[in-house]
Amino acid sequence: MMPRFFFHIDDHIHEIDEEGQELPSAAEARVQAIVYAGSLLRDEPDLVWDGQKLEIRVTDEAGRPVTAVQVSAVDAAPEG
Amino acid sequence: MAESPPPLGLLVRKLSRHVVLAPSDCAALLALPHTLRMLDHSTYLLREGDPPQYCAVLTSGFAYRQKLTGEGARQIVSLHIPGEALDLQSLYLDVADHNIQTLTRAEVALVPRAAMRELIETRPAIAHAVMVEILIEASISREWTLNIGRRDAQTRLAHLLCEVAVRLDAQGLSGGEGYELPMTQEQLGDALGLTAVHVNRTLKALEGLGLIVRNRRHVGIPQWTGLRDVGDFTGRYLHFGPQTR
Repeated sequence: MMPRFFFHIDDHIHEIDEEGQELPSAAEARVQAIVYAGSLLRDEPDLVWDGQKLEIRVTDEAGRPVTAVQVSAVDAAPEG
Repeated sequence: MAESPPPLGLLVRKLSRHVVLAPSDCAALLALPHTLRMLDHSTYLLREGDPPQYCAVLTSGFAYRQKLTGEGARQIVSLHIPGEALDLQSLYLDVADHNIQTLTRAEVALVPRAAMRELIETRPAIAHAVMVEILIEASISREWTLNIGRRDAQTRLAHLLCEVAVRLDAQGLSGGEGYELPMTQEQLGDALGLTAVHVNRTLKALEGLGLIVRNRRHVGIPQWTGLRDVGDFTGRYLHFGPQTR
């Protein structure tokens, strides 16, 4: 049986994944986390606006951290 | 005991929704030579690169059309419900350009391609109805391109759920209030261009909004107008109703 991984979201909200997803390996979970972050940002680019950060935290069945993807944007300081 | 309906009855029903067929046209459709096959889920009905030999009509269960990238990533490009002819897209082409697989355990009536083409050539109303079917499949395909290319995950998923509901309804297979959607989250992801994780989150979001109720593979739709609005769904591209001849 394939291990189960849980994909939690932290941005302005905290979303705990209770269902999880069966995937062949931690390496595959990492790929899925990055693609997932990409599609969340495609839908809502503002997620990383104005000091906000998007974080996908992946944990295993025991709740141990597996990987985390963090995306943030930094603007140049306003002139003047 | 009621007599079981003829296997090609659903196809007659589907074709005659758009074009008036004379009783003799309907009889000729029902009389098409065919072999009935019960297939396990995930069975290939057609493989890319093969010459199509049959026009399969789905008489029960679901099927889908898919294509693979060179690296093996899969995109599901259409879904099919009972009563739909699966091979009209390749009826006049020599080589299949996509794969067709059953989604569930399914029954198909395999009509030899030559017999289907002969019927079309001899009966103008059937030819017209088949042409309308092929054009509607192309219209659905255009809508899917728009859906996957330009709509966000929630709209995309809601749109697909609406489409399947109204197509099932139109075939008299109850869909509007809810239906069994025999797709895994991975398969939904392959149809919507999303990861399974994102599909899972989006299903939960739609449920959180009270727009769907999930019970295993059953999707209940307590608020049709709400789901329709979130899904940016209008049925125009499905071209229900008779088309002027």
